[in-house]
Parts: sequence; C-alpha cells; structure tokens
Amino acid sequence: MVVVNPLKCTGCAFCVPVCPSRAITSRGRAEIDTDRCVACLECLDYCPVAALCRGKNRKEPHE
Amino acid sequence: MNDRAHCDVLVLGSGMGGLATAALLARDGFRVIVAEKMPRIGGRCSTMDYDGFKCITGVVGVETKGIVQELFHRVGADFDVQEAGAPHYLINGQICQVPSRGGMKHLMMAAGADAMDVETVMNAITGALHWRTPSCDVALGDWLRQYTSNPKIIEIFQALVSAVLFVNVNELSVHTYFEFLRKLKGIQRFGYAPGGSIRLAQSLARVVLDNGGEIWTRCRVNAIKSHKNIVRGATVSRWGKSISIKAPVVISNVGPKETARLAETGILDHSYLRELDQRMKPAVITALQFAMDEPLFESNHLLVTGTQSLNSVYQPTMVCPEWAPEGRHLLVAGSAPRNCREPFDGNLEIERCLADLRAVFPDFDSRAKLLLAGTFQGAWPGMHSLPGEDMDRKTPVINLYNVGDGVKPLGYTGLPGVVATGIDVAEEVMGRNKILTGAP
Ligand SMILES: Cc1cc2nc3c(=O)[nH]c(=O)nc-3n(C[C@H](O)[C@H](O)[C@H](O)COP(=O)(O)OP(=O)(O)OC[C@H]3O[C@@H](n4cnc5c(N)ncnc54)[C@H](O)[C@@H]3O)c2cc1C
Ligand code: SF4
Ligand code: SF4
Repeated sequence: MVVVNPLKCTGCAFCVPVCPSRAITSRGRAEIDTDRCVACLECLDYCPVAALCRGKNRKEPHE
Repeated sequence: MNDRAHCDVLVLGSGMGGLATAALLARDGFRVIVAEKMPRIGGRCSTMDYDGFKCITGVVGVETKGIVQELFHRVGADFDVQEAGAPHYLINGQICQVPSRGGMKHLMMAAGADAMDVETVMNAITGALHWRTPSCDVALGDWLRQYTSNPKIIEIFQALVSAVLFVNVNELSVHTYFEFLRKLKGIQRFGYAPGGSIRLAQSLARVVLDNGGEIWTRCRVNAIKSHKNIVRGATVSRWGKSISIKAPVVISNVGPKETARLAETGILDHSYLRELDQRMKPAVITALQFAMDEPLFESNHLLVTGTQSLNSVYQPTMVCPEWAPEGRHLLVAGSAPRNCREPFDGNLEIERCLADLRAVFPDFDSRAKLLLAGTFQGAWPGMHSLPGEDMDRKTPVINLYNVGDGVKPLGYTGLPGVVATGIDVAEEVMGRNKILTGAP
C-alpha cells in the first residue's frame, strides 16, 4: 500500500493518470483509495516532490 | 552498470532548461549526462496520457518566432509547433479577436472604455516603451490607475499578466511588465506541439543522444559534491544502486532552492542562502483539464477578464486534434489566486476556478468532464520565482550553475525564460572552456 504525505503533496495530480487501478484522486492534494491500490508503486516515480511512500511507516523508498 | 561514471558536464533534471543546455553543450563536443528522476523527460513541459487525452504537465502554449524557436534551429532540433493564430479575449461576455496592430486599443474599446481614457493609457504606454521606463517600485495596477479609473481596462492587463507571468497587476512591478513587452513582445505568437508538449523535450533529447550524450531517467540526484568550493559531480540513485558521477561542471535544473539543499547548504555562503529565502517566492497556479465532445467556443485560446481567478482557457485540440481521442476535445483552464503571496488552499482555488468556468460558459458541467485538477505551488510551482525576483544563474560553488524558471532574465517568463537560461549558461561554459583549454 502507498500513502500520501499531506505536508509534501503539492496537488499536481501527476500520480493520477499513471495509476493502473485508478486508485488516486486529487483536488489540491492526492488521496489514495486503499481498497483499490495494488501496491505496484508506479505512482512513486512520478511524484515530483516525493510525497508518496510505501507502507504505513512513512519510510520513503527513494530517500 | 558501474557504480562510478564521469562526464564533462552533468545536468541535473530534464526540464526544458536542462535539455536546452545539454543540447547546446553536446553539439559543442562536451560529453553530457542528464540525470532525471522521473520515468519521463520534460518536467513541466511534458505529456501525460490519460484516457487517450494528451494532458499537460505544464506548458500548453509555446512561444513561436522567438528565442525557443531560435534555440531549436541552432542545435538542429525539429521545432514542430502549430501556430495558434491571433489571441482572443473574453470581455463583457463577448469574444474579441486581437488585431495584429493596435491590439490594446481595440481591447479597451471593446471593454467600453471611453475614448479619452483609452488615449491617455495608450500615450502612457508609448512613453514608457519608447522614452522612460517607470520605476521598479510601482505596481502595474497602481501605475495604470494614474491614467484610468475604469476597472475593465485594468482587468484586461490582469488577464494577460496572470495567465502569462503568473502574477497579478497589483503585484507585478511596472518596470518588469515593460521589460516583458520589450523582450517578448507580450508573447503575441504561440502554438501547440503536435503530439503533446513532450515532443519538444524529445526533440532536444535527440540532439543530446545524437551527439554522444546520455539521458538517464529514473535517476534521482541525492547530493551535489564539491571540494574546496569547486563542484566535483553528484551522487545519484538508479535501479536501487548508488552511483557517483564525476564532472567538472554541474548544471542544475531542479530549482535554486533544491540545488542549495542538494549542495549541502552549509557550504554555500550565508548571504546567498538569505537571498534565496527572501527572493524565491513560487508562482502559484492551477490547471484544470477537461474532456469534451464539442468545443466550448470557436477559438483555441481565450484570455478571460472579470473573473475571480480564472485567467485563460485553451482548446489545443482545435489546432492539434491528436491531443484527444478522435472526435473529442481537451480543454485546459488556467487560474491563479488574486493574491499570490497569501497561503494557498488548493481545493478552494479549484472551486473558484470551477465557479468562474460555470459563470462564463453556460451549461459548463454538462459539456465538460473534469479529467485532472492540478495545483502548482511550493516545491513544484508554476514557476520557481515571480517575474523580476530571480536568482543569479551562478551559485557560490564554482562551476555549479542553475538553469530553469527560478533564474530567468528580467522580462522573460515560462518556456522562453527557461530556454534563455540554458543558452546563457551553455555559452558561459563554452567560453570558460576555451579560456582553460586555449582553444580558439
Ligand atoms: C500548469 C502549468 C502551465 C504552464 N503553462 C505554460 C505555457 O503554456 N507556456 C509556457 O511557456 N510556460 C508554461 N508554464 C511554465 C513552464 O512549464 C515552466 O516554466 C518550465 O517548463 C520549467 O522548466 P524548467 O526547466 O525550469 O524545470 P522543470 O520542467 O521543472 O524540470 C526540472 C526537472 O528536474 C527533475 N528533478 C527534480 N529534482 C530532481 C532530482 N533530485 N534528481 C533528478 N531529477 C530531478 C524534475 O523531475 C524535472 O523533470 C506552465 C507551468 C505550469 C505548472
Ligand atoms: S501503488 Fe500502484 S495501484 Fe497503488 S496508488 Fe500507486 S499506482 Fe495506484
Ligand atoms: S504526484 Fe505527488 S505531489 Fe502530485 S498530487 Fe500526487 S502525491 Fe501530490
């Protein structure tokens, strides 16, 4: 599962079109439908500000 | 892959600033590596495929017959941009086409301004352009209000500066505005890139590759390395590996603040860091993208006056139909808050923009379906600095430069501004290299 860091997310919506399961919506800030997310992690690479991270522990895979 | 690499010039980021610099230097014989963290190139001049629509990541309209086109020509890249034709304004609910001569006068008349007012404002503009540029301290709005009390006239200027300079008439210095008119002629000509704005980035990337350069995507820069205040390269991660890239010149396209962070702020001098903090105020904008079955209006672009935050609407599919599935249309609406320094509420700004669209276009909700609502602010803004508030392209670390929209020259904005920084830095590097190597 992937979570959004609301302090980092700028709301650009770049993550929305890349999600194969249409789990992300964004209106000023991204939100992830955890029931739909298949944890493919594709969205992580497209976030320009590293606001998306894996799992609940907020550990950022890229940093 | 090796965990070490080296090159003559390392470019951090594949935005148009980075690619312009990389293309120029690669053509001049430098071995260039471009490190880009995203899987796609172009940064805020790219394209996202969504349900067959070529959604924007930033750039919609591309200035033509100016510095961008010149750069493409100079490096031998294909500049494929379809002209959009004359600009249109929405004034008092009416669409007005701007004639090629006397445009501003025509618009003010269309706004119902009386002839005396129009003449006074026009004389003031002529004087400011050809005789004496007004002082930096005066905001464009205050300067205009010396000559007219008609709010509709001010609104025409507001729509243009909000849409193109990402700032409001009451926040932009009149000096910067006239520099913009001088340098970019107010961007009267622009167009759209067939296939999406990413095509422009790809065209420059091809020049880099054809001249022996490399472009590494999914490659995040983690730190810029320097020794005794001279840049040495950077460490990056790619495919889960850490790689150290050695380079005598590093050109950063990631924004001046991020550059400073990656260069480990401690080694940059304090006055520079203070200046970064004081000057770098990101330009905040919102872009809503919609799918439609029919165009909403007859032109491809409208600058909108008299709204709370909406400033422009584009229908690129009127010129480049392939930006949408066959028979459908893409609409891009741009807006900016009326006070760009106040705390930004993305959701509120999106609501304001939607309310403006509904007020301006009858039956908006039944004709347009929202695809993407993007807000651009903070670390990923419309532009890294407001016009006239840019940083120097040289950093305190020797041979570490910034390119991109946080270091654009006065009077420049968006893509032309970014390209101008690339040309400036590439020429500086070529010039210094000639001195060091004694080349003629
Ligand atoms: C919604 C919107 C609409 C716009 N419309 C227009 C328009 O119509 N016309 C116009 O002329 N301008 C427009 N602009 C402005 C224009 O998009 C930007 O000024 C320009 O694209 C910025 O280019 P850049 O080279 O400065 O940086 P960017 O495009 O931001 O490129 C920076 C690159 O660096 C990469 N990067 C960042 N950090 C790292 C790291 N640590 N490691 C590796 N890579 C990294 C990023 O992923 C990115 O690809 C618009 C902007 C927005 C947001
Ligand atoms: S991890 Fe994959 S499925 Fe989950 S939100 Fe990101 S892109 Fe969508
Ligand atoms: S890509 Fe990142 S910053 Fe943009 S909306 Fe998604 S999570 Fe937020």
